[in-house]
Amino acid sequence: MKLLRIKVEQLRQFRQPFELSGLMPGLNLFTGPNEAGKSTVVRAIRAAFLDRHRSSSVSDLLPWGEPSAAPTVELDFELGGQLMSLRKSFLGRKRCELKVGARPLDGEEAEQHLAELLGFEFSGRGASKPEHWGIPGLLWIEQGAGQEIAESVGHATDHLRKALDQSVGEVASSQGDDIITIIRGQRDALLTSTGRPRAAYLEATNERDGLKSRLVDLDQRIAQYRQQVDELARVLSEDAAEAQSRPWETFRSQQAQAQSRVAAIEVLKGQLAADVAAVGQLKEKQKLIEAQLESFEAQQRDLKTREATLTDAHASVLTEQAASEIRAAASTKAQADYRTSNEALELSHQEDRRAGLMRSVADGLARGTNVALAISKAQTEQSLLASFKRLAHETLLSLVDMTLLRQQQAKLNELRIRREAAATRLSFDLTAGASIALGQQALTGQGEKLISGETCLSIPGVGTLKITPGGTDLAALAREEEALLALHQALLQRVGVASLDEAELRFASHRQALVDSVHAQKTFDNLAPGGLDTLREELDNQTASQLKAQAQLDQLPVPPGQPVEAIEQATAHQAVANAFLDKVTKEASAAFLALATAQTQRDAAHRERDALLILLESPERKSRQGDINQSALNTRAEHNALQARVLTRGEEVDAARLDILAQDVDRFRRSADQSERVFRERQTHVTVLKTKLEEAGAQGLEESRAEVAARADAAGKRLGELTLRAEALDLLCGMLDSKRAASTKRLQAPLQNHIHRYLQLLLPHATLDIGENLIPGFLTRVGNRGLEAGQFSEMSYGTREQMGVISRLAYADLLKEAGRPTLIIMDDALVHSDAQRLEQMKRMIFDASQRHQVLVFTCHPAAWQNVGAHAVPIAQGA
Amino acid sequence: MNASPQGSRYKGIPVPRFLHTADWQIGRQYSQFSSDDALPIAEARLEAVQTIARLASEHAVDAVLVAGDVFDAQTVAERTIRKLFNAMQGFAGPWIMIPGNHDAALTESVWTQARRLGALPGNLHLALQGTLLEFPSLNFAALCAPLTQRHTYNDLTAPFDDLQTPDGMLRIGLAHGSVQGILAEDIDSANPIAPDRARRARLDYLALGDWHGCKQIDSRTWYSGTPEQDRFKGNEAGFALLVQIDAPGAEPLVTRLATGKYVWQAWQQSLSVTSDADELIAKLDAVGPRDVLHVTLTGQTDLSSQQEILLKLSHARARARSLEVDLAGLRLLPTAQDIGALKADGYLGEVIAELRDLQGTQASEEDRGVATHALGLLTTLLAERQATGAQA
Repeated sequence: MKLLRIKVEQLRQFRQPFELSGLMPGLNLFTGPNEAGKSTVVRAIRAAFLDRHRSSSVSDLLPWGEPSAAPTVELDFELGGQLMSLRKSFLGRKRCELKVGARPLDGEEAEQHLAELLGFEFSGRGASKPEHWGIPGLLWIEQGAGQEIAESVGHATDHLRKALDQSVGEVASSQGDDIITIIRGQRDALLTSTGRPRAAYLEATNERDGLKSRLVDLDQRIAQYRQQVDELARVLSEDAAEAQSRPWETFRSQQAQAQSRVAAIEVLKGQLAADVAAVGQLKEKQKLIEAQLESFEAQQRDLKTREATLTDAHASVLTEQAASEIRAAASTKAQADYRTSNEALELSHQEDRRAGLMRSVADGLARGTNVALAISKAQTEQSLLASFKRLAHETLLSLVDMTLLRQQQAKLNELRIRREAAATRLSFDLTAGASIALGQQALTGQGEKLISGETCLSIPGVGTLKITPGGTDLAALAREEEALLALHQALLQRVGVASLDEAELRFASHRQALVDSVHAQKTFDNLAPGGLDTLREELDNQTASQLKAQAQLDQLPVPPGQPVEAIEQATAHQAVANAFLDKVTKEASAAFLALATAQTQRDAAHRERDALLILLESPERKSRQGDINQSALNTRAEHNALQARVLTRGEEVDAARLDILAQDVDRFRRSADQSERVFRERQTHVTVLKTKLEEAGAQGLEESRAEVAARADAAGKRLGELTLRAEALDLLCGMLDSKRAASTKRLQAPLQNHIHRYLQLLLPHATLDIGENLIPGFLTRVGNRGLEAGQFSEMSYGTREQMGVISRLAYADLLKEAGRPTLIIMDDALVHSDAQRLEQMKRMIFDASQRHQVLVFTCHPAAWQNVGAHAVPIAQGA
Repeated sequence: MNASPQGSRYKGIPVPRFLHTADWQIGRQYSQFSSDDALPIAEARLEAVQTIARLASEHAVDAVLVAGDVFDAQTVAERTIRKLFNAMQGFAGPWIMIPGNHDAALTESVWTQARRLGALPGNLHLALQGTLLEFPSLNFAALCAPLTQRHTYNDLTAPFDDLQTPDGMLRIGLAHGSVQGILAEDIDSANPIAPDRARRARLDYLALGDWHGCKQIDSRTWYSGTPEQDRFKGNEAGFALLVQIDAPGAEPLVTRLATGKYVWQAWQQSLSVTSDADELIAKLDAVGPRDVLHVTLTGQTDLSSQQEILLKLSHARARARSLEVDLAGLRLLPTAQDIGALKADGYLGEVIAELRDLQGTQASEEDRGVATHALGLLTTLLAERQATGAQA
C-alpha cells in the first residue's frame, strides 16, 4: 500500500484545506514544531480508515469552536496494484466515497471493503477501539506508544498467524490446543503441579495404604492367635505332666531334711558356746591370780622405793639447812644497810627544808617593803584624783546649753544682718562742721546710717525730715531679734556667765578637769589594782608568812657538822638498799620454806616405809601367797583341757556350714513354693488363654483378613490403574507441550528471522525471542558480564521502544510476504533513543522503506536529517 | 451309575454307598474379583454343600465322607459356621468329617468354636483325633486320620494298619494330605500319606482330601477334589464321588457327580494378525453366566481392532459371572489410516507417532505400558471428538 496524497479540511487546526501530495513510495519525513499539525495528519489518516463516517464519537476532529464543521479527509493511495481514492467527511456532513480504479463504492460498503483489504474491523457501535484496529493498529505507531506492543500484537494475532501459516505452509494442529487443555485437565485432576498424587489418586493411595496396614494388623493378630493356640497346647501338656509328678512335694521333703540337720548343728553349736564361755571364765580367773601375784611383787618393789625415798629425804634436809643459814645471815646485813641509807635520806630532807625556809623568810621581807611603797604612792594619787573631780564639778556646763548659746548667738547675728539689709540707707557727707540729727543721734562728717524705723532727721536750720523706711517686715525683724535676745540673756544668766565668751572659757576648763581625772584614776589603778585595802591585806599576809617560816626554822635541829648528801642521791641509795633487802628477805624465806618441806617429806617417807614393812612381814600375808601360787597351777591345767574340746567341736560346727544349710532350707522351700505357684499360675493361664482364643475365634479373624485382603487387592488394582492413568496423562502432557513448543518455534521461524535481521544492526549477536503469542519475550545479548537475558517487559523504556519498532518492522515484512498491505507510520517515535541507537534505527527504517511505505513524523528535524528522505515541513495554513 | 432307591439298605440286600467329598474351604474370600463377583462366587461354595446334601439324599448313601478342609480358616465368623451346618440339612444320614490343614483340630480351633456355638448337628461324626468310628448298624467302620497340627511330617494314616475292626465290616479310611510320590508338587510337602496305605491297612476305600482336583490314586484311593472350583487351574474340580462297595474286599465303584456352579478359565491370547483378534472375538461371544474368566492379551493391535476387542470384552463382562482382563502386554499400534481418521494433524500426529514408537523401544516394560496407555487415552479422546464432531 502506498499513500500518494493526503488532504484535510475543517479538521482540527486545519480549518482551511491542507494538502500533502507527491508522497514517496518509500520513506517520507514530515517535520514541524509542536502543534504544527503532524499528529493531526496522522489522526486524519486513522480517521479515514478506522473510524466509521457515521460515527458521532469523532468530535475530537472538529476545529476549535466550530461544532457544525464537517471534518474531511481525502486520500489517494495505491493498493494491490490499484489506484484508490477515498474521501470521507464526518459529523457535519457524514459521507464516505471510495473509488477503486474506476469503480465507486459508497458508505459502509466502502468502509467494509477497506477493512478487509487492510486487515482491521469496525466496532459494532460507538468509537473505534484498539481491539478492532488489527494490522493498522500494529504498524501505525502512535505518539508515545512505540514501546507498548503486547496489546497491539494481540489485536493483530490472527492476521500474523495467517501470514505465518502461509509462509511456513503448515499448521500447528487444528485440535491440538483443545486436546492439551483436556489432557491437562485430566492430568491435573490426578496430579499436583509438582507431580504428586491428589484427589482421587491420593485417596486411592491412602485407601490402599490404609488397607495394607489393616492387613498387617490382622496378620499380626492372626499370628498371635496361632501362637496362643500353640501355647495353649504346650501349657496343657505341661500342666498334665506336673499334676502327675507334683515336683513341689519332693522339694518340701528335701526342705524338712535340711531343717533337721540345721537343728542338730544348732545343738552342737550351743555346747560349743558353753565351752567357750567356760574357757573365758578360766581365763578371767587366771587373770585375777596373776594380778594378785603381781600385786605382791609390786608391794616388794614399793618397799624398796620407799627406802630409797627416805634416804633421799634425809639428804635433802641437810642441804636445805645449810642454804637457809646462809640466807639468814645475808638478810641481817641487808637490813642494816637499809637502815643506814634511810637515816642519810632523812638528814638530806631536813637540810633541804631548812634552806627552803630561810629563802621564804628573806623573800617575805623584800615583798613587804615593796607593798608598803606602793601603798604610799597610791594614797598620793588618790588625793590628786579627788581635786580633779572637784574642779570638774565646779566648772560644769553642759554641752546642750553650750550648743544652745552658740545657736542663739548665730541667730542674733543673722537677724541683725537681715535688719540692716532691709533698713533705709542714709549716706551722708556733711560739710565739715555741719551736723544733722538723726533722731536723737547727731551726725557729722561722712558716714552712713541705717534707718529701720520711723526716724526723724533733723537738719539744723532746715527743719526735720521724717524718714519712714519702706520695708514692712523691718519692724517684725526687730521684734524677733528683741525676743531672742531676751531668751539669750536668760540662758546666760541661768548658766551663770555674763557672756558667750565667758561660757566658752568655762566649758574648756571643765573638759580639761575631766581628762586629768581620768589620767589620775588610771595611775591609781596601776598602783593598786585591787584597791588600797587589798594592798594592805597583802602586806599583812606577807608579814605573817615570814614570821611563820622563821618559827619553823627556829624549831629545826642543829645542822650537822659535815656536808650532807643531796636528796636525789640519798633517795637512789635508799632505793637500791631497799630492793636488795627485799630480794635477800625473799630468798631467806624461800630457803626456810624449802627446809621445812624437806623435813616434812622426810618424816612422811619414814612413816610410809615403816607401815609397809609391818604389812609385808605379817604371817597371814605369807600363807596367802602360798595359796595363790597353788591356785594358779590348777587353773592352767583346767584351761588347757577345755581349750582342746572347744577346738574339736568348733571344727565340727564349721564343717557343717550352717549358713549353707539354712540356705538349703530356704532354697527347697522356695523351689516348692515356686513350682506350686507355677502350677497354679499355669492353670490360670490356661483359663485366660482359652478365653482369649474363644474371643478371637468368635471374631472370625481370618475371614476378616480375607475380606480386607480382597479389598486391599481391589484398592491396589485401582491404584495401579490410577497410577498408570496418571503416568500416561503426565507423559502425554509433557509430550504435547514439547511438541507444541517445537511446532510453534518452527512456525514462528520466519518472524524470528525478520526480527533477527533488524536486531543485528542494533545489537550484534543479540537474539529477541518471540513468544507463543507472537509478542517479544526474552532479549539475550552480549553484555559486560557475558550473555545477559531479560524479559521484554523488564527492559528500559528506550530499549523497549526500539524493540517495539524492530518488531513492527518485522511484522510488516512478514505481512508483506503474505501479500498483505503494509503502511508504517511513526509519530514522534524513538524520542527516547540515544544518538548512537537512533543512528542504527534510522538504518533499519531506511532498509524497511525499501519494502514498505514509511511515514515518519518528527518535531526534531535535525535528528532525522540523515534518514535519507526529503523533509516535508508541515505548517498550519500552508 | 446305578441309582438305587432310597433306604434299600434296610430292605434286604445292603448295597453300601458313600458320597466322598473334601476341601469345601468354607469362608474363602476371592480377593481377585470385584465384590460384585466375589460374593456370589463365595456363596457358590455353600451352594455346593447343599448340592452334596441333596445328592446324598437322592443316592441314599450310608454316609457322607468329608476328608478335611471343611473350613478355609480357623477363625471364621459365627454366621459362616452356622450357614455351613445349615447347608448340610438336606441329608439326615451320618456325615463323617475330619479336619484338614486349614481347619486342623488344634487345642483351639474352628471346631471348638463350633462346639461352643452349639452348631454341630447331631448327625455329624466329627473326628478330632485319630480314631476308629464304628457304625455296626451300617456295617462299616471309619478310620479317621484328622490333622491335629497345621503341618505334620509323619504319616497319620500309619496307625490304620494296626486298627482292628470286626470281621465283615467295611473299613473306610478318611485322611487329608499328600500321597507321596504321586502328585508333582508334593515333593517334601507336609502331611504325607503313603501311596499304598489302602492296601496295607486293608481299607475298602480311602477317602482323601487336600488336592483340589478330582484324582484317582489307585482302585481304592481317591481325591474327590473340591466341589466348587476355586482357581483357574484346569484340574477337574467341581465333583463329589459316589462310592459303591458291594462287599468287604470288593473293588469300589466310583462315580463322579457334578457339584460345581462356576467354570473357571484363564485365557492367554497373543494378538499379532487380524485373525487372532477374530478368534478372540468369537470366543468372547460364547461367554455365559457360569464363566469365571481371566483374559490376558499380549502382542499388538491396531486402533480399530483394539476398539472392537474392548467393546466385545465389555459385552462379555456383562454376561459372565466374572471377567478379568490383563491388557498390560498388549501394544497399541495405530496405522496411518487410524491416525488420518482421527484427524490428528500437526503436532498431535507427531505425539501419536512417538508414543507408538515408544512401545517398541527397549524402554522398560513399565514405561512401554505407560506409553500404550497414553496412546490409548489420546486416541480414545480423539475418536470421541470425531464421533461428537460427526454428530454435530
